Amino acid sequence: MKSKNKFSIQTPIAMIIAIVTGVTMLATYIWPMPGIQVTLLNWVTIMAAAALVIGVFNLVSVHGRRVIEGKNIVNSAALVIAMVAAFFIKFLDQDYLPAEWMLSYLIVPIESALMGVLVVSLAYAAVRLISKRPNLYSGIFITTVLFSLVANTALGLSIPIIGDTIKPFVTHVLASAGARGILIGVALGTITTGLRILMGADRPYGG
Amino acid sequence: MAPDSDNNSPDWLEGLTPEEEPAEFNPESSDDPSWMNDSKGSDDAPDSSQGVVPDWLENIRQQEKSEEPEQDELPKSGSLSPEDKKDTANWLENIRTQYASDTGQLDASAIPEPVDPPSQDYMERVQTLKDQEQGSPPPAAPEAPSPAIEEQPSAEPPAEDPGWGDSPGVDLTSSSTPAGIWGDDPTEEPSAEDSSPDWLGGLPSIDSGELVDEVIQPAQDDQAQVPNWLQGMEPEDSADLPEAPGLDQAADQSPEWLAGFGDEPPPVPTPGIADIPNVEDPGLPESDEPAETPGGGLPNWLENLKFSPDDSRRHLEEGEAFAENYAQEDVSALLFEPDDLPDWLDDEDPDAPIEIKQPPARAEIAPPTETQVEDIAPAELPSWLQAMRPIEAVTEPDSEESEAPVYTGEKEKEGPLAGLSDVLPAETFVVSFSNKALPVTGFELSEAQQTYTKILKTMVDTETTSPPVKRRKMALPQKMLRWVISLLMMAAVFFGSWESSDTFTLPPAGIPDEETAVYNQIEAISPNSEVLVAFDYQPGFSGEMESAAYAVIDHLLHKNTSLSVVSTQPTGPDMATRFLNSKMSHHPAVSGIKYSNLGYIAGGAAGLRNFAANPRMAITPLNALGQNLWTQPPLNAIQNIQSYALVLVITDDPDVARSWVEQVQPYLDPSAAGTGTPLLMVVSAQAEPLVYPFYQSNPKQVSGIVSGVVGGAYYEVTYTGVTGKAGSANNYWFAYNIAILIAIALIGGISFINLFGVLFRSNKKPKQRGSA
Repeated sequence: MKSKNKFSIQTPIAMIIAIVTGVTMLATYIWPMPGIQVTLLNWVTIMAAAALVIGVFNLVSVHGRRVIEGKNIVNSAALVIAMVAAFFIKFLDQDYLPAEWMLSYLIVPIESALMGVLVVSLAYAAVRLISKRPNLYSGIFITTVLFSLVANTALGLSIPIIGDTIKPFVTHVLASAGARGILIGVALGTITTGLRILMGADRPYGG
Repeated sequence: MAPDSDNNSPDWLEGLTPEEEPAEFNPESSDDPSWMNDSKGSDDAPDSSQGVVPDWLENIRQQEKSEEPEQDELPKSGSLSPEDKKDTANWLENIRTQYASDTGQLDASAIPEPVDPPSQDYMERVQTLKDQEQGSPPPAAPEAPSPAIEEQPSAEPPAEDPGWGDSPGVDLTSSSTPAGIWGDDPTEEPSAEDSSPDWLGGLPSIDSGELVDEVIQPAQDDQAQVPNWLQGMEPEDSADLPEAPGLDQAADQSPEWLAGFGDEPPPVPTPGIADIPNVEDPGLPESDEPAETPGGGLPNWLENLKFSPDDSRRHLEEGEAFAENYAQEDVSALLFEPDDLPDWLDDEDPDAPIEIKQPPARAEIAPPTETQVEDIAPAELPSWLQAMRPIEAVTEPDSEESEAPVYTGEKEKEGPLAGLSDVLPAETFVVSFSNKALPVTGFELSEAQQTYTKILKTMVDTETTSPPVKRRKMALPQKMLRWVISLLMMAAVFFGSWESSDTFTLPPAGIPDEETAVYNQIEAISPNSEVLVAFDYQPGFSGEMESAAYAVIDHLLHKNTSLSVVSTQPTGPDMATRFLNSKMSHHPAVSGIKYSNLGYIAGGAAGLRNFAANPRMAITPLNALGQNLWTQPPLNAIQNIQSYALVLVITDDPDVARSWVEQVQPYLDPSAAGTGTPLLMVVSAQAEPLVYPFYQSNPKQVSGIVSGVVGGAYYEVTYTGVTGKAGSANNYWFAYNIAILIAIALIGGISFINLFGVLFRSNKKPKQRGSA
């Protein structure tokens, strides 16, 4: 519930800036104005990069404060130490060897292991689905999963009907139909959000 | 004041010179004012001087005379009758005795006795001392100095000199202690004189008494002896001044400004002077116990000075009440300028004396009577004054709150005021952005409403606190099932990676069209072309994406193209470098630094749009030497994004793929005829359904797609037919198929068992119900 006191003098200024910028950017698509469009896009890029840097510093400060205060000191200290070490390694590295080693033997294995755990969890969930919800939709879901898995193997591709008829129909017709519906929904949502911002009804920048 | 040209001394100092006659003291001079005659101690004073005494003092003396028949001898006072002298000497003796008893360091005998009747007046003695210093006999020193001066040099001030004897104008015992009046010991005068410089030798030694004498003396002389600078100050119409009643001839000869004192009534001791109870002067009697005459009474004029302890306490209470009321008053009204005052205040006489009345104590404030209440109409208060009334004046004060201050504020926790309460609660107002809760009058909650309020409050409070995560207990069979699935999956992957087999082969005729389109687009570009490759995938998807993109990148490098690497992911540039250095190190294009890492594109979709609009402005890449890569070959040939022969996007995220299609592809094919720079994609299997519609569009927004390990394996089959080498997708193909088959077996088999179990239980329940 928004309070009346949250409305400040900054709100109309930010709203005016957002509306003017949005209308200008939209106008550059209708009436090509490369100079203005590129300038605005450069500003967006610069501000996004600055936001990323600010986010990094904020992350370091938050976890550094936790380390000082003794709250969850192990995880926060590991994060701060890793960030500082990665920064100096990347900053001082000229031959890329330490950075590549860190990427190849720390980041990639850790994230790949998370994906492997996800595979086991999905398999276990699919196994338990029939016993938990024994209904028609669960049956259809399990059947589709099994068919997609089989269709992506050499065994399934070698089967005449599955490999050259059913599998393309499922992936290129059914899945594409669903994907197109999703894309159309995203486009409509984007248009609606843009109009709300241009009219000032939606203020994601605050106020 | 200009000095005189003759002797370089001002006129008023001429009276200090011994040669001039006006400086000589004449005790019999009738030019002295009446009040100075009272202080004379000469016995030669004519009795006619009685007439100088005002009537009020005469009455007092007569009254004292009747009350005090027996009196000790007093210092000479020409203005007092013998009876008055006795009276005065009696109470002064009492004061001296009281002083001796209070100090305890000086017995009564040490205190100089009052001078006997033959003793000279102190002014005469001063004149005598002055004459002795000048070497001339005193003009009127009929008798020897008093024993208090010569015979009692031991009459030194006590060890702790109270100092009261140094002030002749204040001390009541000054007349009885001439030596102590001026605070100088006559025996010490020569030494002081010897230590004085030569230029002071011509001047008479001036002690305090003499200085007073000399200063007063010109005022007592006739008009001709008044200094020049004082003559100018004399009012011209002095004769018109009203004659002071009770003044005699001496008063007529006195200066006009001094004669005016006779008009004034005798000084009446004010309460302010009398209310000094805490003067810690041992030389003065305590205020609570004033000295009394041996006869059992004080003079009437001194009786007025007497105040009881009750009086002092009452004055203290009045002072406290006044201070308290003054503190409670709104003093802001005092800040108004005269122009700001209302009209009704202008009626007051500005020249009228300001009467400061002490407000009565709070306990003495009586409630206004009915007539007083009627007299004070509320409408008479101006509006500005009503607005300035404190809230306590409007609201009815609480009896308990009015008695004792209640500190209800929170203690300061920060800043220099930490630990104090009810002080400058600015931080609370600064931090709080919401309106302060105001009490609602006339609103009563029923018990049910209070219950609902408590329930709602409990619900809101629980929303702010996150409940502890409950560790879900899992049955042993379920745990075993999870461990079995995990072990089987890992065993299949390890076995497939360890053991290479040709058991699972791709059908040669089953290559999808989108992958064939990629191959054809790469084959269509000319050698040594510039290709933009975007590594937009997370490190966790590196296994799938690198397997899928291996053959495509190898194909591009085999075409001897120059790669420009870019990414919208923070880890993308490093992933690209890692992939090229680890997987494509055998290519001379990589080892010969023929690819350019442009780095990270910030800003998401907007950044992509900016990069597509003007790549040189969006990114400024530098090499190891700090040189701008856009100015170095091969990027110096790139002017815009259409300069690239092909754009390849490797991503696992369908949203990133969509951003490339929506933001970059229009710049690649401005005519939207499908004749511009082709946009190819290597995507994860999960992103294929969302990217595939862009391939199906007409004209194609995405010219070709390679999806997942399967797509990479297909591409490798096609590419192997060209190069004769298998890629990483084929290396993982066996393990990939084994793992998927294990997963299919687990999911399908256990799901089938569970399905039968569900059916068995559902069939068993109706039978049990039927049998029951």
